Amino acid sequence: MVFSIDDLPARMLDLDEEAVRAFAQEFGGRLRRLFCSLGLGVADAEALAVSCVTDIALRVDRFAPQGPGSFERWVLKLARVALVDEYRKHDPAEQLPDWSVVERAEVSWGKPDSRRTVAVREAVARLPDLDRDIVRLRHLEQGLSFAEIGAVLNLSEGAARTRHHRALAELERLLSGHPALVRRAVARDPLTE
Amino acid sequence: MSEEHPHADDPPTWLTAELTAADDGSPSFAAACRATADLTLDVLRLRQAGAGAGAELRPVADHLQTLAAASGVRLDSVLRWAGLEAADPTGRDFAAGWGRLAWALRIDPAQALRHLRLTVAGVLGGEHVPVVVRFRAAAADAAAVATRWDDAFSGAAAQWAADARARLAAAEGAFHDGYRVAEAPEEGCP
Repeated sequence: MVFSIDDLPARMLDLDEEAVRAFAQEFGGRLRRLFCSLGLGVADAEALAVSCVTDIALRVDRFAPQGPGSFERWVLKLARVALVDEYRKHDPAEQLPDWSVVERAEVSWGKPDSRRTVAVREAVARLPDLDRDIVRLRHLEQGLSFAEIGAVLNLSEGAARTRHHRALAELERLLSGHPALVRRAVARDPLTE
Repeated sequence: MSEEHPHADDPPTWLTAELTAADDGSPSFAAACRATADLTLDVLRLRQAGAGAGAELRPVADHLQTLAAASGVRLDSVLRWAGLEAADPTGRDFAAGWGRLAWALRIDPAQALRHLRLTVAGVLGGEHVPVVVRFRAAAADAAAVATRWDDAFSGAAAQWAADARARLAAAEGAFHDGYRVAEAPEEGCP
């Protein structure tokens, strides 16, 4: 069943299982992307996204609808609170991410950009299988060290490091200046500069 | 090797951002999202069962078992999420976790505190436990009976050993903290 996001809160309060699962799937992925884009490592972003999904879903009875998109904005507001709490927990002195970049995205926050997604996935798919596994283990799943990647893939630490370097150089070559990524590059600057 | 490739461990920020944005997450993340949906449903079902229950005073574990029986929910994941699974029921961690769970279940804080007091009293109170714990108030009398019970409990707890009274006070403080933090995340907003 396909849900309108604005319909989710009422359905969740009715204990509609599909709605609760749809909320977790939709916003789990979006929160993960959001936190990654704000500088959290993948493992931390995933853990915080899962924690947010539970906490936000359990307070959905506090949500007051204010028109289309208001639920997504409400979720985003609570996600910001969770992110701030996470930073304070680890290091109160650490500078918080620039949230204004997220606010400019309004209700589209965390949604994958299909053109960019396709471009990146195609570039990754062009890597040799082993290099793709290395990139995944290093950057997308577990943040493994090169020694750990070597152990998983039956390589020496040095070989894992070298192949990783070459894989990233190839991805950079394939994606730098790619038309699907140019618009994003402009919007990205406030966070990365 | 890293000296040969000084940037090998440090890819451009934009590239890692693009990689993570294009990725749907690890299989373990997808599983965690499914698990958290199940957990949410369990808590919402317990909440619904509690909304239909009377104002019955029981220790925390008994109260949760009653809600679980009424809703058909297995408590394991809920207790784990709240941090109650392995906690000492007279300790601060248990009390804080119960505060968090009580808020999630939309139990009135005064009533949730009574459940906690009965839990602590069952372990530390000895013979000084209010005899009214077994009653079940009719809805119309609930507030008045609860007030009488609160008075009776305070009188009984005053006779506990000093150490037990201190542990009760610490647990009550932790409970209030846990409940307050769960209730008001907006306070964390800069």
